[in-house]
Parts: sequence; C-alpha cells; structure tokens
Amino acid sequence: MSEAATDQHIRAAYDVVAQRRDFHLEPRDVAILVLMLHELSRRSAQTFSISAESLRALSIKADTFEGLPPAGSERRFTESVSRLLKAEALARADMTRIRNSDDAQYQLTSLGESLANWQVQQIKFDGEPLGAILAAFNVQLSGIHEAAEMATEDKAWHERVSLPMQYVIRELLSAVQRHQRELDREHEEIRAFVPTLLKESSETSIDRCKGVLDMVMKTIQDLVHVTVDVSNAAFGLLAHIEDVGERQSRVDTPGLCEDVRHRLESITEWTNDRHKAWGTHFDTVHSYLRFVSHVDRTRRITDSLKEAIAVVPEWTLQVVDCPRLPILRERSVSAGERAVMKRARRDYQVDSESVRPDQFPQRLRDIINEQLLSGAARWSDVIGIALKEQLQVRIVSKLPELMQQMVSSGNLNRESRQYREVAPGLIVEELEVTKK
Amino acid sequence: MIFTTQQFAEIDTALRRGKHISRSEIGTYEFITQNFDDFDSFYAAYGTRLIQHPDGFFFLLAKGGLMPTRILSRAAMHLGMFIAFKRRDPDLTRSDGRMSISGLIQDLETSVPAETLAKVYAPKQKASLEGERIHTEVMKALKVLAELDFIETSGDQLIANEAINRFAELAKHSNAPSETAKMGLEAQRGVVFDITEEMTGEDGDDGTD
Repeated sequence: MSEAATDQHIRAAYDVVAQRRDFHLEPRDVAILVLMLHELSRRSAQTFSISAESLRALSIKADTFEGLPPAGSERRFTESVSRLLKAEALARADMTRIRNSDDAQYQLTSLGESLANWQVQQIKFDGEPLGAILAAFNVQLSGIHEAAEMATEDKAWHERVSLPMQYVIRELLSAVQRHQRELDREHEEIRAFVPTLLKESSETSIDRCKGVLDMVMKTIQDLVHVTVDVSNAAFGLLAHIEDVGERQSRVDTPGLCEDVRHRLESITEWTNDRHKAWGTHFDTVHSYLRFVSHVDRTRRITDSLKEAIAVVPEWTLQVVDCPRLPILRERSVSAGERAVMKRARRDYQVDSESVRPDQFPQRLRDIINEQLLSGAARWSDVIGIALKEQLQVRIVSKLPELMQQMVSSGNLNRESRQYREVAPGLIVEELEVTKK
Repeated sequence: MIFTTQQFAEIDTALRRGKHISRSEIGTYEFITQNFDDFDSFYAAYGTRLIQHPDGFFFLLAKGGLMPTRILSRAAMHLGMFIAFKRRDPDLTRSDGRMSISGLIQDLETSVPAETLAKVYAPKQKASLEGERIHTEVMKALKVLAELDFIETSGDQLIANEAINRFAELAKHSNAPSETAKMGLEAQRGVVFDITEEMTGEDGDDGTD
C-alpha cells in the first residue's frame, strides 16, 4: 500500500470521529433499502429515484413484516427516512430542493445500494461451497492414495499418508460440518420467510414463493447428487488406501479410513435428511398454495370459517359407517366346567363370639381415683403403676385417654411440670391434678 | 378385474368405515384414480357413490342405500371447522402443517366464545365442570376425526389432511348457501342441514342412521 493511500485511510478514520458520523440504522431501515432496491430494479433501467409516496408504501410494507399496526406508520416512515438520510444510505434526488416533502424524490446512495445488495446476498441459499469442499476433499484423498502407493518407509508413510489423513479428517470434514450448520440456519430463515410471502397472497408474492422453494429444492437435489458422487469416489479411494496399508502392514490405516468413512456417511445422511425435510416442506407450501392461496385470495372462505366457529354449528356431515358386528365370545365354557349357580343362602347360622370390652381404661380411671384419695394424682405415678400391670406399648397407646381422664378428674396443678423417667427410656413431663 | 385384489379389499374396507383418501396416500390414491369407473359401478349397486371432491380426495356418499351412515356430532363438526380454519394460517407451513394438540385446545379456548364452547362441547354440564368436559369432548372429537382420516395424530401432534376442507363447505358459500346450493351440498357433499338432538354428542357417540 502506498503512503498516500495509507494517509487517506487515516484521514478518513479521523474524519468519521471528528465529524461524529452516525451510521445507526434500525432493521426496518435496512428492509426499506432492500425493498427500494427491488422496486428500482423492477422499474425501467433509466429510473434511479422513487417518490416519497412510493417510499411511504415500502415503509408500510416493512411495518407488516414487523407485524405493526397502521397507527404510527407515518411517524415510523419519517423517522426511517431521517435516519437513512443521516447515515447517507439515502439521498434526496430532487436537486431543486422542493419545499413540500411529499413531492420529494429519493435515491439510493452507493452505501445504501451496497447495504441492500449485501443483505440480498445473505439469504441466497447456496449449496455450492459444500460441493466444492467435498470435491477438494476427494482431490486431497486422491493425493494421499498416490502417496500411499509410493511410500515404502515408515517415515514416508507417516508424513505423506497418516498425517494428511488426520488433517483431512480434522480440517476438511470439520469445514463440511460448519457449512452444514450454515445451510441449516439459512434453511430455517427461508422457512420463516415463506409465510410472509403467503400472507401477501398477491400473484407476485406467490410466484416469488414458488421461486424460492424451487431454488432451494434444486440446490438440495444437486447437493444430494454431489454428495453421493463424491462419497462413492471417496469410498473407492479409501478402500484402495486401506489395501495398500494392509499390504504394508500399517496398523493405523484401518482406523483412520474407518473414521473418514464414518464421517462421510454422516454427511450423506445429513444431506438425505435435509432432502426429505425440504420435500415435506415443499409439498406443504404447494398444498397451501393450491388449496388456500389460489382459491381464497381475498380470504373470504377463511373469514367465513372464522365467523362459523364463533357459533354453534347448525349443519353436519354424513359419513358411511361400517356395520357394527356383534363380538362373540371366543369359546363357550363346557357344562362340566361351568360353576353351578347357587341361590344365596338365607337360612345360615350366625356364629357369634363374645368379646369382652377393654377393661384397661377403667383400670386407669381406678388408679387415678386411688391416687386422688391421697390428695393428688401424678401422671408419672399413674403410669408407673400401670406399667407393672400392662405392656409399655399398650400404655403408650392409652396416654392421650389417660391425660383426658386426669384433667377431667381433678384440678390441674400448673406448677408441677418437671420431666421424670417412668421407665428406662420413657421420660414424661409431669402432670399433676389435685382433688376437686 | 380389480375386485379380487388385496388392494381393492383394503380400500373398500377403509371407505366403508367412512375414511377419506387423500393424495398423501399416494399408492391408494393412484389405484382409485386409475380404476375410478370400476369403483363407481361397484358402489352403485349399494346405492352409494364414490365422490372425488374438487380438492382431490375421495370418500363414499351413501344416501338411502344399503350402507349404514352416521352424522358427525356438534363437537366433531365444530372442531373440524376450527382445524380447517387453523390450517389456513400461513405460519403453519413453518412446521410442515403440524399443530400441537395442546396448543390447538388452548387456541380453541381463546378464539371461540365461552358460551359457544359450552353449548357445543358441554351442553348439559354444570358450569363448574365445563372445562374438564370440554377437554374430554375435544379429545373424543379428535379421535373421531382421526378415524375418518380428516386428520392424522401422532402423540401431541396433528396434521390436517386435504379432507378437512369438507368442514369449509358452508364457508365457501359465506355460511349462507342459497336453497339451490343447499340441495347441491346435500346431494354431492354429504352435508346435512336437518339436524337433530343426536348431534350433541353428549353420550360420546355420533348419531347413526
């Protein structure tokens, strides 16, 4: 680079900062630039500018992409034009500087045109790089094959076969996978873009939609063919390399070849998957075009359906119904095996067993009364006496009942609340009642 | 002679169950298209007609013939119309026409007035139990629509077939067909205007002739 050119760049950079150049644009501004480029390319070759009115229509179109309501469209239009003029992506074409802004003419500057063109390039769905990468991969593989035929020493084999093979696996196939991800992203963007064309429902948008679908479909079909051709050739070369490796007893060759083969298979599988997915998408959109876009351009049927679902349907459809066949039992049970039906017995003897009522609650009451005779009954004493007569578990189950009995039999002494051990491991908080 | 082939037997059985045959079943569709006259004369003997709808799909239309018929319940009709409406949303092409059933039920509850939902799907239900009943009836109606091949379901997903357009028959006449159009719809499309209480679907089944 010459000194003069360097100087120019530095001055330009300084100029941007010094003049505080603002290139800030909103996404809708860029959309307007793209729409303007499209509008200009649609018109005759001599047209370089469009009227404010046409630009306003493009701004409204950008509003529909964002799903914005008509209210505020004029404000958004003015703001967009202002930003585009400030960023020098758009310029006034009316040299006379007409005062009335509605009579103004606008043209794209070289910056605006480049921005719009760059944006258009971004959405071009192109499988060519993938084909090129795969073709380059085969050239590389072919070179390795030739090197394998000639390499006789270990060192030569390592440098000219093993290392390049590892490079092929790492670099070239990774590039393929990166490109696949890119294609997938573009695929998703197109899927999202198609509905916007369908919503417009004009002859032009339908044709554009068909064009986009056809283009993607063709690209994917080409890609399938390229992938199949390239992988077939690659599989052949790999088999040869493996043969040579086997002849020369190279232990690492089968593993490396298998790795490449595995990755190639996954690329072919990916391409076939995308082909299938696009086939389905292609059919879905064409079905939509056939049954909705072409027959309901004004959305009269759709609107009528919307009205119809708001009320109870007053009509129905008749469909053929298969005769309802009775389902028979698989086999009847033979008479010998059938259980004999018996009338329910009514003359049976009722066997009764007398069960003595539980005496223990009464015994607890007696213990409480005995204790109260001495002036006071303590929870720990009552439990201690009961423990001599009954199992601990039984007593524990009756404790709530015992507490209730004690409280109802005497006056509660609130001062006596210390903890006492009544049996090993059984500690209770004292509860004392005095005689009423 | 197609009548002794297995393919004919399979198609005949499907049609007699009220199924609709769309382009998605390409083999079957081709077979009917190529042998339409044979099918037509065969079903004529039953007083039944094999109809090819202008949207392409085939179905049997039996009126007063030997084959039994049934009419779709209000719930199935309403849900069919709702799916036909949803299918016309361009955004649906993004998912290749697949809708989630749970999303569909949510949309139904938000797009259709509550009063209409209650009348269609839970006409004799207490207000407190309406929600549950509506959900149950929608699921039943989906089953009916799937059995007749108006839709295909797989887990929580459904795809509407071409035949779903039968639910847009009245919408094509702006929901108010003329008397002549009504006669045409009854004779050619299996539309029934003279509806009875059988249509409510409260018992869980569609009405049967």
